Amino acid sequence: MCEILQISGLSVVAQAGQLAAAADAIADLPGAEVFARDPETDRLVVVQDLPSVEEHMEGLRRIQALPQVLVAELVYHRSELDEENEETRLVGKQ
Amino acid sequence: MGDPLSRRGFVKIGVGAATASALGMPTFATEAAAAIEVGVDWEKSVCRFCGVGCGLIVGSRDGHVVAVKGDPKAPVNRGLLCVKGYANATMLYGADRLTKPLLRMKNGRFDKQGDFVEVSWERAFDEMERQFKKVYGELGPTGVGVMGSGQYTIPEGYAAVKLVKAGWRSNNLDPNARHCMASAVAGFIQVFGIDEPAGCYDDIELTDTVVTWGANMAEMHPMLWARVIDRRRAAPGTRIINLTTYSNRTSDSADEEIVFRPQTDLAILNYIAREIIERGAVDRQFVDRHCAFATGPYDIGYGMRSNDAVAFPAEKDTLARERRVTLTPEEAIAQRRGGGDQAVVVDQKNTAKAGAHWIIAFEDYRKALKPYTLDFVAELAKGDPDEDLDEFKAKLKRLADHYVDSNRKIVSFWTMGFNQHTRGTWVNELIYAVHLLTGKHAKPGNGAMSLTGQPSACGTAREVGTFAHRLPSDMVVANPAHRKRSEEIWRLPGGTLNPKVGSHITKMMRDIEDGSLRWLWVQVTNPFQSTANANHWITAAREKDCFIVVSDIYPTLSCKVADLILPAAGHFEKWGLYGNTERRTHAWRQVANPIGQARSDVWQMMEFSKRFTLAETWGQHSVPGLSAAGFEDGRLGSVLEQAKGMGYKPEDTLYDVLFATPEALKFSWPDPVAAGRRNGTVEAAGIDWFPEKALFEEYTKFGQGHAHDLADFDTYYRDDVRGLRWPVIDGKETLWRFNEDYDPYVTAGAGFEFYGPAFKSLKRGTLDAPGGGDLESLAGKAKIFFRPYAAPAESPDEKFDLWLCTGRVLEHWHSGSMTRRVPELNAAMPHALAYLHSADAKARGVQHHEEVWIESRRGRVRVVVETEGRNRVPRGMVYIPWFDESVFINKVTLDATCPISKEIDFKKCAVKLYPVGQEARS
Repeated sequence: MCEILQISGLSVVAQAGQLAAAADAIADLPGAEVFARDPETDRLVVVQDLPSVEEHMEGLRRIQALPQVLVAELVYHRSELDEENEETRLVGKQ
Repeated sequence: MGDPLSRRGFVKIGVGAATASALGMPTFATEAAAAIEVGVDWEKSVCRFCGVGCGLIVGSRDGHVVAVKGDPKAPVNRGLLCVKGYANATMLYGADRLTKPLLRMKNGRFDKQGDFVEVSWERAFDEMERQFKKVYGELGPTGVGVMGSGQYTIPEGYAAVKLVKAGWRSNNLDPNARHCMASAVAGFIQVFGIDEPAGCYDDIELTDTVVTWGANMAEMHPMLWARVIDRRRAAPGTRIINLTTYSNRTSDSADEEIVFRPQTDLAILNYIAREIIERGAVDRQFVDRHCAFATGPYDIGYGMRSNDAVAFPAEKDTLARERRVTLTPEEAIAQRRGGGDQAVVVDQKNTAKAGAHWIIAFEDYRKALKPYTLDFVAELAKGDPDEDLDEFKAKLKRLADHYVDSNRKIVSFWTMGFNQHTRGTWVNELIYAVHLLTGKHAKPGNGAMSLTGQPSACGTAREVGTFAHRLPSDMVVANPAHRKRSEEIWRLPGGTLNPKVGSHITKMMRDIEDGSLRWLWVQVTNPFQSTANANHWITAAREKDCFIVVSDIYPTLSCKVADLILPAAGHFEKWGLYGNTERRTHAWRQVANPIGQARSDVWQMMEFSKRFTLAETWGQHSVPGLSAAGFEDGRLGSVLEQAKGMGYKPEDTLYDVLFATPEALKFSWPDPVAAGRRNGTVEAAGIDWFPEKALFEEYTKFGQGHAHDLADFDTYYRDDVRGLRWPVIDGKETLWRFNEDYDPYVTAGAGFEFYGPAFKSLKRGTLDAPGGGDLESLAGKAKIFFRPYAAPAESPDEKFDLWLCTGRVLEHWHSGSMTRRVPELNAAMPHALAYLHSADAKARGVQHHEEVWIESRRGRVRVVVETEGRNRVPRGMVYIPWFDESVFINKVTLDATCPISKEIDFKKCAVKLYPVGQEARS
């Protein structure tokens, strides 16, 4: 199957005093990883790696719904053919 | 982050680092952030969706958009995006994108009952021309019309104004923005004499209090809402109050939620004004120097048809209220017309002069507010029947406390709750009254601002003037001096422009039904889905003798009722500029190649204009109802002789005279500002000049020296510019208008000056009527209006026992014609739901997620009930988003409008609800 690599970067602001708890909760979600954190602003950078844009959005919703999270927004979305997937390479050459 | 040596791991680290960098957070992987951007062509741009005006950085490869990120340099959104931001790229590549013109045909010929057949652009324009000229010959300029959009780019809107008003001499040009913020416009003009807000988004970071009125900002303007939430985090004393008719996501983050009964915002605002006065909180110095008091007639109808000749039988009782109305007891008290046991019947005598107004004394104003006590207003306005009245009173009092407190800064935001309202202009006027009485307007952190729903409702629809009554830069067709100035800039013979106001968008629908408008071009909008009481308009479009053209990028509902569909270029497939809510004009270059034979709207209008000579358009025309100085009644005179004197020939085309003018041709293509980018308009037209730049530069002449100054075209494309808020004077934008500290148009020493010129010469009168004295000048002043509470055009009754409120959801913007093509958005909210209180569902024997009929006097739809969702309505109301073509709720809604602004009230009508299969349609 032809795969498209879908990666997005999110800004997540935790509720006051909840930065670590928010990071832990996010780390338990599928396809989500905490890339960076800033205690001064209670902000996390979260990277999502999920198979479809639809799942990215659902992922963002899951994060927004976490009780430890105040606000979550998208910052960067990138899609490209997964050149390391053999079938993708074949389709790309057609 | 996975294997850093794999492409996946590399991209993840790069995206993470780029995200951190955009947010100003330190990152260990700056090299990775840079590395993943290699091979992608990045360009600054603007979001194509709502009126917030977020900045984007768009990445493309080989003319195909592959990435979108928030622009960290954009002051509006500071690098962040809501979900809609992602739709900008994906929406271009839906499987059902329109790529070729489609004409209804049978046996090789146009046939209104035929199926859509692919045709060439030449064939499409041939049929458009043939149909146009037939109608134009029979009915003249009033027989044709164009429905435009707040999604027009500035050059597109300007091209439409020139073609329709200067070329065809018709004023039947009106945007979907009429449905969105016409009441805000009328409010600005009535109060300040000039359109567009005084303040800007910077107010959010400078205020202590944010009050939202009929504005679910958390869902509809999420990037601004994020700034509001940030402000409260940074300044913990900041308070957020949400006034709404149902609980929504904005309520979830607010400090206080006030659920009020539909239409009673009028009464609540008068209660606040009364409190300001009775508590001695009027800023006397500000009011005495900069304000005057005013009022107008109350018996102005509801903007409905004045007769019921084509009404469905069930509609007739509502329509009768356009002629005569029995006031509710509360209305009678609020309007000082009794309040005893006897019913008060009022003839709607001022429907044709709904906007008329006159000066009143402060004491009269105070007297008019007397009925609006806390007890009276609380009884009237409490919107949740399950809420305790004393608790509701306490909330209203706390709300008033915030406005009254002279030590507290306050910003009021509103959207469609105010604007889509049968008294939309009034309620806009009243919010300004509250701010002006306390001197909390046009100051950093203090002010009232209407948030718009479309990306260029302000910059194009309003400022360019794509309304039936407008010309560029706040000028109007009815004003001879404004027509003269426009004719001079456009190099038209005097008397070319038609002085009779055209049909607004709802009136154009009614005109089609009446047979008085028989040729229509719809551009960048979906009016057959978005106009209330749609059963009438769809039937008329398909069954009447008319020809309807729709330009769009996807097959919308309007395309389905059209006779000809033209494939339009998408947002990134053309050059453009938008103007957002805070007067910020911003621009983008074309980064993607148009799909198939899609063409920009500028190209479509220019190309079609080649088919008309001056002899065909600038001769004499019949215009029913035209009556203006310098014109024979009912007649638009020929200007061909004058045109000859100006060097024009009768065989010159509208393209020659309006678009490819000697001035325009000086803007050559390629242009250094293009920085190597392509231009689909230029390529399709085969020309060597730059239409978008020529149109914009000509347009800027209208605003220069008239408080609407814009920078030159190239400035907006500079790498260091992320839009500029007009007026732009000497390269400097204006943050707060009317305030001497910020606005160069204010006279030195004045402090504040509300210099808008419209309606500033008025008679003085009583609360009930204007007097007979001389006109008084209100130059430099704003008006504090008294407007009473007035009941809606239609309210629940025994037969139709629920309020219906319609609106948007975050995932879908407007009719969903673009966002519904984006699979991820569609999956999140695939179909519109009917949000209903569980007690109302139980009372009707309806289960959660059961399918029901929603029926009004005008039509019905099937929809699934949601009793546990994100929108929590009080008992007595059902809320339904309108994005979903399969839940066509505008078949049910009422086409009542604010009689002044002509904007439809989509928020209030009466319906009943019953399970599918349980009851036949009445």
